Amino acid sequence: MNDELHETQSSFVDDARLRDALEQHHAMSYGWALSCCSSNPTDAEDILQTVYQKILEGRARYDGRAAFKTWLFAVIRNTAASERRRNWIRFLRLGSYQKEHEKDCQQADDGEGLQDAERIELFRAMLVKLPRRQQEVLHLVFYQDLTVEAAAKAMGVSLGSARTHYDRAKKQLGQLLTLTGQFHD
Amino acid sequence: MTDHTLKKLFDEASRQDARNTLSFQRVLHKQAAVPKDSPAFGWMPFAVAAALLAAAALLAFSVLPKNETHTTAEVEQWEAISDWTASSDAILAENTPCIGVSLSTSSDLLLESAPTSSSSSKNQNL
Repeated sequence: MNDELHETQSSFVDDARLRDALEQHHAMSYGWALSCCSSNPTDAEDILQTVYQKILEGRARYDGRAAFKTWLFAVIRNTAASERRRNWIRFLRLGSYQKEHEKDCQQADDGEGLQDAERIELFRAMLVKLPRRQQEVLHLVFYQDLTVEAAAKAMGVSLGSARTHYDRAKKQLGQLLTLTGQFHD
Repeated sequence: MTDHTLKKLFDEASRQDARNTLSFQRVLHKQAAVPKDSPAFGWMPFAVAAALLAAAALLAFSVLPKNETHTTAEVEQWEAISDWTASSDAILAENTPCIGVSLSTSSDLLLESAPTSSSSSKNQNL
């Protein structure tokens, strides 16, 4: 994936180029949107749609100060945050989703061993137990292959704060995964 | 839990997501059940505003006129009080002492025979 997009919005003069750039980052954006929506696919798709519309309509403008991907992730994160604030019902929905999710994982855990897909589901269930910032920094570093510095920019926090979240997140997630007995080094 | 193990788990999650991802075009043109600009319960701010307006209207048309009526009633009450007379008013009217008329009592003799004090004389002089 081309991560060298340091073009400014002015260089995306035509909608088509901007659209191409978004399409190029679509898979990664979806993964990030999922992370911002506690792994709810419907919410992630809705957030992405809002973000794409925002960008294509010029309501969110890329100024070239950061990499395109970092900027795009910041827009996705902010959009997800404002959606959460705007609609408290969504919180309830996510809460019930999370409970269902955990119940499913618990049921899966009752078996002798877990299939790969089930292990990943269990992994996700443990991941969403972490504080939001910790989830975000782990996702950006391990899933999106960003540096902690770029992750800090996408999250809108200082580098020091991102590093703290990163260290605590690794430690806490490691403990949670070990407790399940399904993950070993 | 090492970074390598975490990386493997995230990579697997990424592959799983990639299998379930809708295409860019489908996401962009997805018919949302509820338009994003008017999300579920997006009518709530309008409902709250309408409720506030209704409450204000209710206040204006019911409570305020009541206050006005109350004020009018009070005025009428005050007017009634100013016309009120007691049954003993007749006695007052008949036995009003005339101001300036001196009444003589038995002790007046003592006052006349007593020497006047200097201060009182001074006051009198003043």
